[in-house]
Amino acid sequence: MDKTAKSLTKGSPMTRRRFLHLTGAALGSAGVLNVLNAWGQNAMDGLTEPPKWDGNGNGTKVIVIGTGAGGCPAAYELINLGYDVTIIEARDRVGGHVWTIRGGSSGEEYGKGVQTCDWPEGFWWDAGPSRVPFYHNGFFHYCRELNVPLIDHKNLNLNGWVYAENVDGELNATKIRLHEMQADMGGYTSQYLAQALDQNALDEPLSEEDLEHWKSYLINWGILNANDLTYRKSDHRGFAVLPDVHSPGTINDPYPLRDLLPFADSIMQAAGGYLAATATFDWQTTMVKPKGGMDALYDVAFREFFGDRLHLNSPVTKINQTPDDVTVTYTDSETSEPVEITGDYVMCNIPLSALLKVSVNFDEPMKTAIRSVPYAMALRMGIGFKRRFWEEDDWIYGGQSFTNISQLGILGYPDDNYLSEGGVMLGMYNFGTNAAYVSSMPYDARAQLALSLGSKVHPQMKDEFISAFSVAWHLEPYSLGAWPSFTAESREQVMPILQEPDGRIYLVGEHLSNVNAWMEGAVQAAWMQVDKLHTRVMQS
Amino acid sequence: MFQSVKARIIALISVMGLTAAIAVPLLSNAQDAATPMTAEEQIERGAAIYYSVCVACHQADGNGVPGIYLPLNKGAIANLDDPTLFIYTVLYGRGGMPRFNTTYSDEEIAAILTYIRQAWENDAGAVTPEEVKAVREAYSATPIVSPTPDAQIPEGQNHPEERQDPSKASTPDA
Repeated sequence: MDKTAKSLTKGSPMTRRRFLHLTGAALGSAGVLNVLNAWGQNAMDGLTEPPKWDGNGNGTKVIVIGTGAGGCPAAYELINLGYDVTIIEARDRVGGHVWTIRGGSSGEEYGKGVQTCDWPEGFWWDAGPSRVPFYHNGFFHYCRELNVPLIDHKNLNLNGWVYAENVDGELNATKIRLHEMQADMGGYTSQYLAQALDQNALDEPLSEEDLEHWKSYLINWGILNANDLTYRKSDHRGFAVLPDVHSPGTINDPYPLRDLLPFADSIMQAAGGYLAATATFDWQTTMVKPKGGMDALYDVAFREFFGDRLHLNSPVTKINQTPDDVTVTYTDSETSEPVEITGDYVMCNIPLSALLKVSVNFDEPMKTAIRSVPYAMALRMGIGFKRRFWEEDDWIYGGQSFTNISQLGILGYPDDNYLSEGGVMLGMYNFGTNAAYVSSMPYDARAQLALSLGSKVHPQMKDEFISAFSVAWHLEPYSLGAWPSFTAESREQVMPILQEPDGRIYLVGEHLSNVNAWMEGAVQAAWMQVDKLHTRVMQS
Repeated sequence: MFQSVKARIIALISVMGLTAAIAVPLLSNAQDAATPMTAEEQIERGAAIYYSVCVACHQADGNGVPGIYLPLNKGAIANLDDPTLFIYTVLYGRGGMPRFNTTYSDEEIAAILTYIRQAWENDAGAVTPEEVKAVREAYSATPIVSPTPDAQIPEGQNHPEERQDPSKASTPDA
């Protein structure tokens, strides 16, 4: 499979397409999906750049609707292939969910009125995608192509805080450093395992040699005393008093296991998705992001490339296809009048949740597939502060702090301009019912809640607060959800329908991918759909 | 009976409105699910969840946002005699609405739906945990299949995209 998938990335679109059709005939849709998985998702052997296409679109008219993470690369490739591309965007900016908030940014969620950001010059924060895994080569491809500089995104910072409340033991409602929790839990776990190994208490049949290797590994991993296999404190857990010219410094004793266990267990249960996520494939170091905000690629680089092909402030109300062409109706923001444009094909980057609000003469299977996909709720809040207390007072440069407060979730710190005057913290990130609950509040009440909860970790928050900007993606016009929530079963049922064109309309976006909620999924979907469209045009 | 339930709901709404900013939302609690709720407890629990979660989109008056979030007050799906489609929609999501099948127990879903079907100007029958369980199990393997033909929903009260009637062109060459 790997070898096949790799050869697919080098071959002509015809070859890949035929291969998928042949596979589909032999294996059914699940077979095609598996091939696509290998083609698109197998990170170590996946797509790193768009296919090398032959031929020219020769002015075939394509209307790209939506300039999200998938619409932009699709439009870019089609323009380069010689298509006559018109790009229609509902919002006043390019990017869709890719939205960098700065002073002057404004938004209007359903039922919530307008909020306008008043942060000082130089403050920025990504309300949508904010970090890029090391293997998202499609995203990097366009950063290279359009000269977008990248910086580190720390994601994991062992000097960040962990805070848990409503837990047993002396650590209840306290914050400790992540390096303390990690060193102590690693140490105790190693100690008990090493001692169990030493007593031959394991069921597994292990040779003397196996046991010695494992014990030695644990001694070094958990920082154990080699003689009695007990966990001993080390600088892995940080200093209470730093070493300086006068002293070698002081390291506190480990937290008692009986206090640490309920605390750490609660953190892993509540924030396990986050904490463990700093070590999973997607979230492990090194992550990166464009310098100055994610919109450097979308609202700056792609926007400049599109030039006057791009129509902002133009929400689409209707897409009507006939056997010969497809007509898109959008509302001109200045005149409020409907405008009709006709093209040969549509590449539609509207999220499925919002696409339902547009009148489109899709075929029944496509309608059913679109309607069947639920979207997730998520709320993110950026909070501007006058002073970088997390750096000045707590010595946290980038990364995150973790809590077991489900309404608060994580706190995230900026990755640039260290020790400058003030900055923006990710002050709240929650999902599901928590996101629904917080999002039902007015913007101000959301911010007060975030400050009240966040102050348990950073008491400086209330004094240093400038203002907050929150985005509940399920209440955001033209988004109406954070990302699609597929199950394995629903994916298997709807993906083959969503991925195929309905007449002259091609969908594009991360909802066509296994890499959901990532920009990379949208980029790869764009390549797949441009491939199908171009192949069709070349054949006709 | 109905009047007193209404009065209770109104009292609840005002209490929740006052304390919304500090109240801990009543999220799923599996331990609670074991004991069956009385009709009154069902309404209370349903209202509590409605005003901490559902309210974000469907609004305190149940009217939703026209063309965006479906109305529940006098809404077609919410008030169908057979609650199957309503149960299905809340469990598995539909039309961009989130799924709640892993968030709430059968008892909680029944409570939310019963509250909605009797709130505002609605006057539809209660939903039982058994009915929720049946729908949950029937569609767990094929969650995308809509259980009730949309034709059951009265004209003009369907999902926005279904209200319009775009003339269907024959598909050229797909």
